[in-house]
Amino acid sequence: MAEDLVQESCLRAWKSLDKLRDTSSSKAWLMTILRNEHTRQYVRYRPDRVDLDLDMLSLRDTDNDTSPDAFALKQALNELADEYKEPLLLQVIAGLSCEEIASVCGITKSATMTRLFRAKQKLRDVLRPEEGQVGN
Amino acid sequence: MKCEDFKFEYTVAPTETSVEVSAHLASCQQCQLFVEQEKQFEQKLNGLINTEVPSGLRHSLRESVLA
Repeated sequence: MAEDLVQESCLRAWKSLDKLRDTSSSKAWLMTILRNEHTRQYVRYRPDRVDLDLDMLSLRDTDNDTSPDAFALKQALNELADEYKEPLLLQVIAGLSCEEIASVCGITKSATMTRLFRAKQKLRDVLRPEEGQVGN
Repeated sequence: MKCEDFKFEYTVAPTETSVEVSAHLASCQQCQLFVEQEKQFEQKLNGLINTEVPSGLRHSLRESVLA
């Protein structure tokens, strides 16, 4: 599904390349296309459901961090509201700057910074709850 | 620059810090400690988010679905 998404996004980007006015914003532009295409695919997506016995799957993975901290952090990340999670993932996975994230999410740079701060604060509190709030 | 402002800017985007932020860091021991902790946190977060799917998962899933 991810490969289809990237393929379709690249195709759409190629077709509408003439609409890209500022080449310095091409990364954010491409991410916006990807984001919109993901929404479209998700709306259309109807998965075939299959019952799986998880014990039958070899999910052991020695490369990943399986510490209690990592587990707690992962859980906290999953529980983050989308408005906080999306800017964070765009920064960590896609390496976008605050300005680029703002452009992709359609919010101001200042709002992006606040959301990134709160997202990280929530996650950090899971690891170091005794330190409480900083800044803000 | 106040330490709280530094912590906000550094937390938001450690790779996009301004000259003012760098100058504060060079002169503040408390914030230097904060940066060390933040680096560990960012590293953990990066490792968690950018984790590769276990190599055998695709095969195991396929086997289970087709069984």
